Amino acid sequence: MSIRIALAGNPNSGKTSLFNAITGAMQKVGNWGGVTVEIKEGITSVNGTRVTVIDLPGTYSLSAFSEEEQVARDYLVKEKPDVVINVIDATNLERHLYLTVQLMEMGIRPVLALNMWDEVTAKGDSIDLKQLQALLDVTAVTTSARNRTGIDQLMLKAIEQAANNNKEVSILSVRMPEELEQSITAVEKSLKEHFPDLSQHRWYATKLFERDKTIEKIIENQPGAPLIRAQRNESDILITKRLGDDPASLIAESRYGYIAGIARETIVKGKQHRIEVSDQIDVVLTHRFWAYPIFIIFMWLLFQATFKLGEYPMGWIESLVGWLQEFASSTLPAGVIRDVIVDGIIAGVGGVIIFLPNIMILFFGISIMEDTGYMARAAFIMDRLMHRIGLHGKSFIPMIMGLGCSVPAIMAARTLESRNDRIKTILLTPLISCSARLPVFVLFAGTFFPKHAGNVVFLFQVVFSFGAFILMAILFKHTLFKGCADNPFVMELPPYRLPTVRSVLIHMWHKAEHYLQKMGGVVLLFSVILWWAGSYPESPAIEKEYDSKIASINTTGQLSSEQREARIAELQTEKSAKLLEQSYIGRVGHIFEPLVRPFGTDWRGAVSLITGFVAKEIVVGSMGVLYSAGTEGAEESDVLRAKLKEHFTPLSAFAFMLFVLLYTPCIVAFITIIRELKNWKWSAFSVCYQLIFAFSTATIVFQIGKLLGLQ
Amino acid sequence: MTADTLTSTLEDYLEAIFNIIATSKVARSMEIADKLNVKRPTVTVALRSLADKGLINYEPRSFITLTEEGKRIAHCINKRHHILKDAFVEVFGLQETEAEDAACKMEHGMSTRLCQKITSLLQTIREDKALAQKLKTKMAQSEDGILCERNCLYSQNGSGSKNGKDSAQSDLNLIKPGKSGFITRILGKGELKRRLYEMGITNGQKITVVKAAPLDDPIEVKVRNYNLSLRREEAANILVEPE
Ligand SMILES: Nc1nc2c(ncn2[C@@H]2O[C@H](COP(=O)(O)OP(=O)(O)OP(=O)(O)O)[C@@H](O)[C@H]2O)c(=O)[nH]1
Repeated sequence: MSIRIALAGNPNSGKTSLFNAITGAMQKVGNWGGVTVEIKEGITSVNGTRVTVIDLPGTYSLSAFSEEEQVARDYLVKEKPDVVINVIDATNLERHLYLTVQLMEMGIRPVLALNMWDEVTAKGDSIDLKQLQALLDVTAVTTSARNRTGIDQLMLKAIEQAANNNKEVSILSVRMPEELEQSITAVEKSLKEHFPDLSQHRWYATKLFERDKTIEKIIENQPGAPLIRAQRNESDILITKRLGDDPASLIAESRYGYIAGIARETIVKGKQHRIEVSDQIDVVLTHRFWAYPIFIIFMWLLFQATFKLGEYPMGWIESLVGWLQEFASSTLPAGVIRDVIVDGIIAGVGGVIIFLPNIMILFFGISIMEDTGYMARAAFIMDRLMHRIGLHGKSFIPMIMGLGCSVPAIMAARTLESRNDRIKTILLTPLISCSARLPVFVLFAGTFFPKHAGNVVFLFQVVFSFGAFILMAILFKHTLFKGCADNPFVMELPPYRLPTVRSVLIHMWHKAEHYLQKMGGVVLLFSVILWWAGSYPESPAIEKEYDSKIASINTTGQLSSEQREARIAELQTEKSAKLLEQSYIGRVGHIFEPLVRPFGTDWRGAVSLITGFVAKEIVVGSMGVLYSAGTEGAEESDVLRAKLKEHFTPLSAFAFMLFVLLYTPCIVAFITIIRELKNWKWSAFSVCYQLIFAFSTATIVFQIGKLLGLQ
Repeated sequence: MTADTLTSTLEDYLEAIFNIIATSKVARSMEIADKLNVKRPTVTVALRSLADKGLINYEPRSFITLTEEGKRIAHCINKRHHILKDAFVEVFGLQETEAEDAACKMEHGMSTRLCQKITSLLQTIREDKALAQKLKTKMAQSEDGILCERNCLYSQNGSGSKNGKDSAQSDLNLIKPGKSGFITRILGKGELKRRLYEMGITNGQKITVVKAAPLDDPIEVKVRNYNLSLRREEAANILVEPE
């Protein structure tokens, strides 16, 4: 035998924790609204019964106005799970029962899991279970997902319920004010007449009064729909006039009224009066003066841990990749296959896993912030500032993390609940200059503005990048997202809780796994393509020419061995430059030259910008090759600096730096954007707007500078 | 639009703007904040709402002027205020400050008819010196009469606070941290309103303002025994009767 059980509940009810406790599966746990957007499945077995458990998104209601609510309701209506377990935070029975009532109005008889029971008893309170079960005519079990108690009992009750499923379930109908009751009954009657196939006509009628768009769509364009709509609208106006409030509010009020009655009958308040520790912590963490210093310290710690601590494992990964490359090139026979494996595949894999330490540490931090409840407070104290530029308080974290690397930063935008906020944040985050762009700024600032190098780097890395972020945010707010009403901020501030090590680790592991699964293939493919474009078509003529030159140096005895080596190195770079120039990338660079001319860069600059798409770090390396300065020493190289001075003026260098700051992020970041936006149009827009923005800014600065006679 | 459809809070704002403009031609949100003794963000929310209703010309960070409609209504409110205050001083013999305060609170609920009646009463007393004297002595003796119950949430005929017009009511932004009120009405519509009552913010429910964020916006409230945060502009839609 096998059954399906769905878990439904409000955000922060402990649904995910319970899911983990039941199935032992790897799953995200967060003290934060709406983290579980996808539907997760897990399998377990109870006394020989195979049980599939489905974790639905956490929702406050089933009115189907947010994505989460829509997903949850669709699943319940269409998939019809055998049993629904309604997870309830027993310390806050009243609000959590609102969802229960809605489930029961749909004709579902849930098994209630009164979760967080440990906290209820710790407070010295209790709930009269017998009474609750009798009043609602449901089964209720007390559980604690944290201490893993009551879970077996819960599963047994759920299976018992599944066995009784064919019994007729009485549909709950909450008593409404008299006039409203009559109107609903009237609409219900018309529905029965015109739509005899629907079941639960009363539920549909109620939903029509709640102005539920999905339900309106179902009856739309059917005979009888205009009549029913007219009937609804008429009663709506009448009721609003008579009772002083619209039906939708009255329905919610009636449900809460019903629930308040149940709560009164069942909650047994203890005598203990404990001071709420949570409130005490809150006094400090959202204090008038201390809130920001504390927040900055937390952000600083998170940042340092993610990027400084992350450097160690990143170093290991790098040397591992290097070792693998060496190993492969020494064991495999020379040829195309070896090149593909060494320079394409291994380098590509290296490019993907190099971010793993950052992502794991960042999400370790984020999940601690979420599980403790601090994340909600961070949004609370930052919202005023972020809302000014049309964003949400929670957008702050992706913004700051962007300073390290856009990839984890974009992933961090998941913590935003509303889709609009998420899109805006993901579009803007790449503008924050990531650490990989730093070498470019160091090189150019050091070369062209040696007296103010530090200030210039700061100007680009911080002032310009945040400036661009704010500017674009405001622009988006007034153009693309104009008219989109701000999503309500209305956000629960859950009590502070100690996170469990287990849930934090599960979360971190889940993120890493997710990243590898989703990214691996695509990035790999792109890396191989880019590698191929950089090394093909092969040009035996150039190779032969330089090989013979090098050979001739080796045979002439006039030079000292040192001079000889220097000459050989010079020829090697020259050869790489030539090879790169005639490769596909080099050709594309030439094609794009007219596009970079307006801001004072030549085809070499164009090629290094294109290679920068693989990873921003590569820009400096490519320039070393292209300007025939050798790759050694990268941004510190004096040779490269001298060469750059031949090809750039301070003004064109400045424009080039602006372009590097603003143009499309690297390929891993780009794939992350596609994955997170899940929408091709927006992803394409993200690339285009950045390219246009970068191009126009760099060009305007360069041209105006030229007009002003700057060099 | 008539003055009756404005909440008392908004009427106060309109009146403040009217008075500031009368003395210095244009008003700035800072002056309004000073005059009404509230924080800047609160003012911004109210101003936006007034601008939406077409009563003021308002662009953030610039001057505020009244539209023709705004002038008309503000004038009405102002007139009601003065009539009431005069009546309190001349008829009931109250001190200036007390009269001012009472007029401020009572001016909002008055219908035009009532206003006219009080005007004619005032007129009569002004014309009849003997009557005025008689009243004065009578009023001076009545200090120790029966105190009236201050709270009258529902008026006799049952329509009561649900019409959103009674004078004791204000929006959530005016409740000081640590204080509570009872929700009398939720304005607006659409997603925000739905979200609010799904979260348990329904009429008659007690709501406590816990604190404001360090920059004064958003605020944290406690309702149905859990904590929730709201932006000021959202809180402006929740009308409450202070406890
Ligand atoms: N004391 C106690 N804490 C719990 C219990 N169950 C979960 N928690 C904590 O409650 C917080 C929220 O748990 P989640 O499992 O993320 O809640 P959720 O309902 O899945 O939330 P979303 O993922 O946001 O929908 C976490 O900090 C958990 O550690 C419990 O039974 N007792």
